[in-house]
Amino acid sequence: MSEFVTFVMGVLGTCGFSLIFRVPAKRFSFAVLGGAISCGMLVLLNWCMEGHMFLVNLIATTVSAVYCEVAARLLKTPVTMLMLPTLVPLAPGYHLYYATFYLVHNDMALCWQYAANTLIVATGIAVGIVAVSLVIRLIRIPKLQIHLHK
Amino acid sequence: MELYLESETESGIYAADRILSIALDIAEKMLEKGAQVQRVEDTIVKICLAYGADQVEPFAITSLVQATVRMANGYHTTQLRRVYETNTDLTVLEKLVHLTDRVCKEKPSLDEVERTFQEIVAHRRNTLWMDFVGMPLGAGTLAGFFGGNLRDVLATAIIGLIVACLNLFLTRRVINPVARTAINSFLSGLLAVLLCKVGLGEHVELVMMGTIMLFITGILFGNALRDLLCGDLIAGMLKCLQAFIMAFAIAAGYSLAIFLGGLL
Repeated sequence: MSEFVTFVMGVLGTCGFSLIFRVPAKRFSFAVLGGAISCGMLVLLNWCMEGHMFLVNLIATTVSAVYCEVAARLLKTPVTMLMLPTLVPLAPGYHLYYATFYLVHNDMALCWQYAANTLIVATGIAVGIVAVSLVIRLIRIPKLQIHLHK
Repeated sequence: MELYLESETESGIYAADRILSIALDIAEKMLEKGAQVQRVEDTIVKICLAYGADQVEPFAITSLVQATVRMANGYHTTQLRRVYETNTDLTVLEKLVHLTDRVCKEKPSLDEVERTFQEIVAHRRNTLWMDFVGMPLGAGTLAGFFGGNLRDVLATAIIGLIVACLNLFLTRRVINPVARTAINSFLSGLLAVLLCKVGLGEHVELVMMGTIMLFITGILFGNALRDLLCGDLIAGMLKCLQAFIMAFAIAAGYSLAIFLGGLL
């Protein structure tokens, strides 16, 4: 039950951020669907492989990024359109908060640990995005080259 | 030299300066509204090639776009645009992308492109309500996402609303983005402490986490690394630096708030 609430909250969060990023009305549902995928993956992975922070974020990002890249091509819209709102729930707010918290409370060991966690989560997200975008780019390259050389 | 004059447009060949100027205007706006560096560079190439350029050498980083274009007749020109601040607006970005696509397919007259571009840019939609709905909704529900109860969600939503008002106030005055993030972080951290002291929120840490999500952009570092690994080294490094500085600004703001909250 609590997992379901987490999931719903994450999806609603994506709705909010889609408004902040001004996602156009006709793309809104696709952005929210992306949020549902990333939240769903996050909840599912946290449940079945708890503690593997890097892997959880990497896999969740990879799956969401594949959705974004494919959907963006089908909709003929920039990938950023879906990628920005989709990956919002993955942002390492939790770890950054605790890093700050322990910094103020002078517990350097925990502060560094959470700062490192922040970086690990961010790296997981980054590697996921990069891996997917590189693979998609490989598929796309011939088309682009024709274009550049006219 | 008459070859490059404006009258030349009538015969279907456009002046290099004008083509480049329009291409860079569109590129600048795209960068400002949150497009990737790679896409911005591609856009410049596409538009210039569509209007008969022979060779296009674009270069874009987060704060600068420049390009040199050489026409078939050998005339070449360089222009640049400086981008001072980015504020993501994906609706405008999509319109610009569609304009670019139309330019490549139909090659409308430059006057028409310019007019459409001005319409897109000047069209002042009333989008402010989106901030006032989106920020409370986004921050509030993400506090719930981290495990907060209904009271935490409500407290975070109120802070989200205040941040939206604050943003309105801060963007009108010109304050640099880092300082703005730090100020926003500090005030929302302080508000989180106060609202929990008053008894509205229950878990101060969850309320703060929800509000942190308004400022932290998880994708920033991802985009930075993507640019780095795709060969846009300078843009990637700038974005990395930006991501780190933003994280420090958030940490600085919240740590001051937590420190003051501890004194209360």
